[in-house]
Amino acid sequence: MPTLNYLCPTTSSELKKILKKKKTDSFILAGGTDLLVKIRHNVVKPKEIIDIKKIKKFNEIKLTKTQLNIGCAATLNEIAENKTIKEKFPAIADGSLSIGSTQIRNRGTLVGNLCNSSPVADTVPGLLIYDAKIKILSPTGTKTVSIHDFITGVGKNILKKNEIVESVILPLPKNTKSAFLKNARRKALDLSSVNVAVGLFNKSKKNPDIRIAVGACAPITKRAQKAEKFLKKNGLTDETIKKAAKMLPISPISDLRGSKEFRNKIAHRLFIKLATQLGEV
Amino acid sequence: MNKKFTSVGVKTKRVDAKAKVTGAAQYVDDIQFPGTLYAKVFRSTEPHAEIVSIDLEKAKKLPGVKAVICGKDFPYHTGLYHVDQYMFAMEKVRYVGEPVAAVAATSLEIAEKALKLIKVKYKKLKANYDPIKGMKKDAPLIHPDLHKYFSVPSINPKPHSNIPNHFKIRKGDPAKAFKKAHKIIENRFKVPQIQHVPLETHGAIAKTDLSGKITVWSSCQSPFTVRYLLAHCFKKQLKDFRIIAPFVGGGFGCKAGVNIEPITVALSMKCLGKPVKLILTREEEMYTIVVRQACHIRIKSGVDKNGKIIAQENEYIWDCGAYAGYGVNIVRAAGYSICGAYNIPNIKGDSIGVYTNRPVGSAFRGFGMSEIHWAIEQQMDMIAIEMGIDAVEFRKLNTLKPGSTTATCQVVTKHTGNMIACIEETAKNIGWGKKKKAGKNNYRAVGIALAQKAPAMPNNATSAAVVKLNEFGGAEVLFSGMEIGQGVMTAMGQIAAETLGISMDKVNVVGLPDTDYSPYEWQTVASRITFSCGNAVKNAAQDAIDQVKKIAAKVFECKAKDIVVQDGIIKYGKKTLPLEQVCMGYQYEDGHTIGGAIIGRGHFTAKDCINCDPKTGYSPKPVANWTYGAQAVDVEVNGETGELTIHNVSCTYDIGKVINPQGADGQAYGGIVQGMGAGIMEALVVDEKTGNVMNPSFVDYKVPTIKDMPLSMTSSFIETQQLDGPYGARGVGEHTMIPTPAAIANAVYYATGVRIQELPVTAEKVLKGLEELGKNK
Ligand SMILES: Cc1cc2nc3c(=O)[nH]c(=O)nc-3n(C[C@H](O)[C@H](O)[C@H](O)COP(=O)(O)OP(=O)(O)OC[C@H]3O[C@@H](n4cnc5c(N)ncnc54)[C@H](O)[C@@H]3O)c2cc1C
Repeated sequence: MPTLNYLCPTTSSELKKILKKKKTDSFILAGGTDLLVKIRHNVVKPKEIIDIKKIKKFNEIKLTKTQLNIGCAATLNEIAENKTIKEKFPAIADGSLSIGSTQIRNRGTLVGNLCNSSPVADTVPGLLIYDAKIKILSPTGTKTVSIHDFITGVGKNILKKNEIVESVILPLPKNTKSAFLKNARRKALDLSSVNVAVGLFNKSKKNPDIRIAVGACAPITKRAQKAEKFLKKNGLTDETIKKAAKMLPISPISDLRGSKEFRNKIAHRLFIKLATQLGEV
Repeated sequence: MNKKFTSVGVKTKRVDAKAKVTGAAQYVDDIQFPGTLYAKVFRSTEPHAEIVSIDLEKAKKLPGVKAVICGKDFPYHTGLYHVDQYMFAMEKVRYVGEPVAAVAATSLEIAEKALKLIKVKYKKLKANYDPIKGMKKDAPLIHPDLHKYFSVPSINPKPHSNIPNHFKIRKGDPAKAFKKAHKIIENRFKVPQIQHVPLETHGAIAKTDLSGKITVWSSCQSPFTVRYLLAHCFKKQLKDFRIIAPFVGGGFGCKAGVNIEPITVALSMKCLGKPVKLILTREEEMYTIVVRQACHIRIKSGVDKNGKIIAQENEYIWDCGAYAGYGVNIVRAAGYSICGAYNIPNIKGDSIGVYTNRPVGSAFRGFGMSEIHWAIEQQMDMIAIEMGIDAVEFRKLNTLKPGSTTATCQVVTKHTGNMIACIEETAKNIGWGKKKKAGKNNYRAVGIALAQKAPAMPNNATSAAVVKLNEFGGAEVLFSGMEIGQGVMTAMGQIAAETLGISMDKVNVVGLPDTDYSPYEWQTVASRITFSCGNAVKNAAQDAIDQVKKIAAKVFECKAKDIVVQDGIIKYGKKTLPLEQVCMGYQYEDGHTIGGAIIGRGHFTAKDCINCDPKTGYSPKPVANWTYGAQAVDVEVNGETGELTIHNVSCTYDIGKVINPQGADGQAYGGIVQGMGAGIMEALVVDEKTGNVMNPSFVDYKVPTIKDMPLSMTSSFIETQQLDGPYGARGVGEHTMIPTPAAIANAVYYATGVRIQELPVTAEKVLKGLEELGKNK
């Protein structure tokens, strides 16, 4: 019978020692809402599980003068309900809240969502528009990389086998508004057919510092730089927004969740809706 | 009837509520026996192929494996109405997921490992997923032995074809009537296969003891039919089998007939004395058990100048999937109900089942009616619109009324049911004709649809019940209608309490049958239990109370017919006697006793039901009764995304007598939500290259969640007494989901002008329609 080694470090230094010896068939467990599904479907066959939830500081959501730190064991519901995140990073709060059901969000983590690196991940568009930084822990110490360099493919990221994400760092923005919208086949417990986050980082309608990310429409969700630049130059009007919609970096596929035509249309609509809304208020 | 009821018609808490809420209720998987062996099924990975060889040897040698079996070991057939399926695939496999072999081992892990050691070689055959192609003369035969299969008399297979049943209606002279028609309107519709999605997957435990007696614990809707089919399948006596049915976590039709029981029993026969447990995973449940049949539909209607339908052609081509043991009867039910609740004098109707290499089609709440009403009720709106007549008025004009004749020429009477009242009540409750306010960029409107359904059962389907009075003047009520969530235990308790003249809290509803001890019940299907089993319980209670009165008459020295029993008191004029003093015999002061323990027995079989004529479908009474109903849905369409919001649903059913108002409302709400699921999100998708189901889990097979619920639902009931129903009642279990999809589609049309003729009505389809009309925002 297959045996499974379950490790549950309670301090970073203990974890570091474990990571030093970690092999490719050893897996990090946060909420397990992705990992357990993969184990059941035989997509991964772990010999070892490293549960990171018992390390106290990993559970923290911490605010400093310049940034917000989301620990890798903080749950999606804690994030969706966090006052600072709701105020300063609404696209991240709403993205978190849109995931699964209450039960899933009570276990699932934002960092797990990120490390799973699925193109439909609902927190990723929000992280992209806020230029999140990813703090990576390895046996030798920590380093920080940009969210824009983290995901490298469908289900792939830059993490090496003995690295974990310790936290996500969000620089505190000034004068921002943001919003997130998700389209799915039903009103709860469904993966996105399309998800969109849009943020406005200054108060200028003429030269708006707008940031856009559309998910579930490409292997890697990226910022819509062309559309952002176009709007910054040409201002935020109904017409420019419509033009910008055509510049979104999306190349959706057809699957059971929707055809590529449908996804294209919905991506445009959701973006137009959000950009218009943010421009209005 | 002016009599005041004390239990029937009174809002009553479910008698099984406490057991279910506390977790005391046991389901098959909760039953743990020491020494249990765990079963797994080896399934076909081919949609259509000859089996060249099966190698079980390696699996048999794995330590911990106690039995590995395949068709060679048990070359037996099963099938309820049409015996077309081997327990394990023999010469060929006909769908992906078909059982080919099975394993019993000391642990689930070992059983799973053993499956991997089984090797089956196939020779691929061309698979067909399209029933229209399958009907063609030169189509390859999926069942070359169809002409040799046994079917019950009401089923008409076409030898040497892919058609296991063809039901015909030939009423009046449609060709002539079409010539006279003012307008002819013809449309096509489609319904996909969908899944039942019971919360509890199929599960069974079988044990063959050393004496050879076989006990089966099964999550099933019909323990007696399971026993009957097992005895047939294994060529044994009924006494060799004992079926025990614990609580069932949802059936919806997929647990009617037999499913996994034969495999479990076969394994247990190879492991004497050991319980063998087989619980399906959700993935297996999704495509290896049974699903609702798909249907391709064409309706052509001829109307006169006043909007009366004078002729109709209805063609239902059913995708039965790989086997049709149960599905053939859905083909029949759709046949005798061919034009829905409408009075049409000239009809050409064809309901045709066709084998394909898709998952097996079978009974699903509505039993064909949900599928055909999707088409009928849209067709009615399309005619009404063409004629410029309001949809409600059009239906009132054309629906069945006393004096109308149905498709089989059955004459509707004032006792059959009152559809006009259902339509009017529904329209009133939804605010028909009043404009509904839509959000910015959105569209909103109300759609309506009707439903009719009869219990689809053999004409001799029978129910039995036993009522045992006890020392405290209460009663044990025994019957075998299964509690599958619909509230049958409560309803049977109410009927017994009412008839016995005692209060509900004195009734012990013994609802979980054991075929060795419980009275017979054919099946818990067809919305027939309140009607049929309810009658049996009422008759049994009446029998018990008649015995009470006989003894009391001696005590009171009066005639039994002058005695009444109320609130547990036996009354004759001013004289009274507590019931408990008679239940076990009446003892006089000097000690001598008359009478003894009282046991009432009752049964019920619907009278005078006649099989339909195979050439014309004619029958003056093809079914026990009809339940009519109407449903209206208020839908808002998002003009940007095509998404639907169901604001309000109102429905009205004529169910003769509401036994438990709480239960009837529950059936209405549950049916609406299940109908909404089928209406806007559900479809099983088969990859036509591989035969694999593409969405065999909840990741991509969606059913409504609490957040998708209609924002409000109202149900009302009309009570046109069913003359032979218990307290006038007839069934409503399935009817509540029948009209929902068509009502939604009709609402979407009124709101936007987009007509969706293929289920489900997804946002994607609606948005595409909006764009074609230039109405997207
Ligand atoms: C029913 C259901 C519904 C869902 N709905 C949605 C939805 O609507 N939207 C959506 O985006 N997702 C959805 N998901 C997916 C999942 O819930 C989310 O991706 C969640 O955020 C994952 O977090 P977790 O903590 O459970 O991750 P886990 O399953 O614990 O981990 C996910 C992966 O990341 C790795 N990992 C976890 N933490 C770290 C770390 N700190 N460092 C390095 N690697 C790590 C794990 O090894 C694993 O490979 C759903 C899942 C289920 C079961």
